[in-house]
Amino acid sequence: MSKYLRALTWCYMPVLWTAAFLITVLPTLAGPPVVSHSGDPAPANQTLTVQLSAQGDTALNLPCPAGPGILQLQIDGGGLLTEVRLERLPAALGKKPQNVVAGPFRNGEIRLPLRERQTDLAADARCRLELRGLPAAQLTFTEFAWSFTLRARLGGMWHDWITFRPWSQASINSHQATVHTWHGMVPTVLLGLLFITVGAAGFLRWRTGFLLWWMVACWLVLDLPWQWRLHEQLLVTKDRFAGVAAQKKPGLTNDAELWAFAERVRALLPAAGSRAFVASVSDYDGMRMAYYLYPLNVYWRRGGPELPASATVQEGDYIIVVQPSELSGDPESGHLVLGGDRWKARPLLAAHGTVLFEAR
Amino acid sequence: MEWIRLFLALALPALLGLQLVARLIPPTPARRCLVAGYGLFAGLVLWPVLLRFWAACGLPLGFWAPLGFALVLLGVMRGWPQRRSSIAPRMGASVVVLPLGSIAKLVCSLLVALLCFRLFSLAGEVIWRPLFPWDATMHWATKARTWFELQSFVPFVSNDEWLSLGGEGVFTDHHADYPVTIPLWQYWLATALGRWDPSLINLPWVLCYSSLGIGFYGQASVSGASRTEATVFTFFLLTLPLLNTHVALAGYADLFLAAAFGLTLMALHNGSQGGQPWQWRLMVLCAIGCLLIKNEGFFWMLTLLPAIWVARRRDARSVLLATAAIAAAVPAVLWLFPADIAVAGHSLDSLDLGYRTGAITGIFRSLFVLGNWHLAMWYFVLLVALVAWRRPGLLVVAGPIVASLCAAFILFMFLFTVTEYAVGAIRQTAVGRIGLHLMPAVIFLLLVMQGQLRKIESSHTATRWVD
Repeated sequence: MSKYLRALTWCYMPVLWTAAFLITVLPTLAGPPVVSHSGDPAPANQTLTVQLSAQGDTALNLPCPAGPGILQLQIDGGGLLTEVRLERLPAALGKKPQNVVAGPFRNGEIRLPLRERQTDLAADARCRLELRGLPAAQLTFTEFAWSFTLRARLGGMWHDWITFRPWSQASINSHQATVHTWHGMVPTVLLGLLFITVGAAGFLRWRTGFLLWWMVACWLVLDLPWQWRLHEQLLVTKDRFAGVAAQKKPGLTNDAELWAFAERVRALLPAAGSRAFVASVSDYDGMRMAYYLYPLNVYWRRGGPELPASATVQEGDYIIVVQPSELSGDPESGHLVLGGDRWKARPLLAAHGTVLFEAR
Repeated sequence: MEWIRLFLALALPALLGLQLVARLIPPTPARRCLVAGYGLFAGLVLWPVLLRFWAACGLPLGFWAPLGFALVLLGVMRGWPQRRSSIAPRMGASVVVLPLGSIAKLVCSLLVALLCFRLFSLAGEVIWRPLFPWDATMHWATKARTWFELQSFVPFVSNDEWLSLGGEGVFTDHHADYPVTIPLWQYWLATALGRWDPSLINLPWVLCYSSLGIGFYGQASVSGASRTEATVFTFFLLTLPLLNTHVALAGYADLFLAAAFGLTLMALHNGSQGGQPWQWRLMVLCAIGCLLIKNEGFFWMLTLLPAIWVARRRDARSVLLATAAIAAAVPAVLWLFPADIAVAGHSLDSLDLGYRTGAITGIFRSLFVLGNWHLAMWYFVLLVALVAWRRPGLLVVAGPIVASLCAAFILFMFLFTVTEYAVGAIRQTAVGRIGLHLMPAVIFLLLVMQGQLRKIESSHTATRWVD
């Protein structure tokens, strides 16, 4: 019986490898053949000199592959650059470029990942490289090459893995060791497969003692970059918030404008217990404004409608409209309007598009 | 003065919990770790209950009055006689302290040093960063802030009820029906400080993280793990990235629920193995904690029912039977239960049943591809294969914890494949957080599996020597 189970154990190893390959590597191979390609206007063995404008920016159009790749640049004067962006042409309207790298690049080396071409866009095989930095700075490119080798992919994964990324709202929901997909490598999967393969073989020879220490070794490989990232984040957090009075801390966050407005509202409104309706299409902005307004008796409904029926809003109530909002004002009648419903209100306070109204 | 008040606000509830648990646990191996881990957690769960009791009696809120009450309770507890162990632990519950080899000692020291550094990194984030994550400001700190500013536990009701009452004497937020343990702690620390501090009110998250680690180490030792194994697996647990994130970005209740459910199942496992009644008391204490932290805790508590049944029968077949029964019962309940009756805040009407494409992939990504759990699930896969091959009697030894986790996993799968919460798996917005509730118990199960494999190796070696 154990013979069959042993056979079964070894059979499922290739199945695992195949599954992991299908999930992580295969999708990235649908692009161009794995070749090195030097794109115009600057082949690898030539140099190109550009000068930033008086506003400190310039752009180059260059050929690029349909599939994912890495644009490797070697540049003299990289310390003068503050930001480099790469995007496919034509640029998707209203979308921020995905591949933005912040400078300065003192060692002159820049690696810009490029995603696969989206099928819904009539993209041609050109990209735009945008450079920003010191006004009128002169820069010389000495290397200008696309790369897709396995080494480049592994290098890309490593770079992605150890790149510091600050906390975001998504951090609380999941942790991603890497965020780019172009390199097709996920450290957790690579190490998981390595762990299982070597672990199973080692178990046959050395039993559980080996398994435990092998797990510790693989775990540390994943955990040390994570610890480094936590430490880097701690330094950023300390720089921003240490020594700041607790009451002022929200003013140093991305919510600074919402918080500052809420503070003014809280100072203006009569007392705790005032009914305040927060209206916004944005769940995040509405929610944060509501939070900063407590202990006022705040009403905010996630997912809308932005305001309850006009009959429920009484004279003396307050309405805070946070942009973006679908509420519009009718200056002649002094009403807020949304669909067929109207709320009679007069503005008391406004800043950055956020307005406090008093219901009448 | 501010730091003294903050220290007292944290230390006295913790001391209450430690005193309570110290009374429950008789002299036993690894007692210190168990008392420290479970005691800290008991303090975290029970102090808000005492605050509510204090307020319900109409006594004045504030800082010093409840603190005086805590001191009186501490005095009373000191007079409460300590339990003596009446039942000798069965095999598996005794702690075998083997001397560590020099390399093992070195590695364990390194791991402990890394854990200290991790605690420093996380505590720094908590101390400096103001409330950051979404839900923290949507329905947890909203209540705390209001109660602190008004110094009164005014009720929170749903949006619709607030409208129907015209907001008279009531407040509203997005989840008015959630338990109040978390906001009560934030209220308490703000009261201790005398101001709303969006950073320091989150210090209980650091305590919770510590209590989970220490409790885990204690229960690992009781379960017969070597010191090396106990240290290594505690390291695994305390370095899970998503668990770390929930400390650093404090404000969610998921860490507390993970600790409650994990400590419950560890006590259940060792109670069923060693037969010590105090382990069952710890289990009940932490299971009640599940209910007091978040609505989901009710469903995790339900998974204890098959586990207790398995613990009574103590055979492998009952584990399989219990798991099969749960797998059949969940769809039956979804099919037959009245759609409009809400249980723990959810009704079938609101769940919008139906399979969602992409949900399975999302769950798989969360468990194996993203970095949420490092390599824990890959380790699990290998250990399951080895346990199936070597047959170390895992279902007999760890039947209750296996039954409970299987039941929990079935609920987890149904939640994220056929209900509206599947979007939380597809977009990775909830599947990791709900998975977090189960991970401390999963890591403990990994420890038990590893330990069982080691034990049959030892017995095989011994048999060979005898032969």
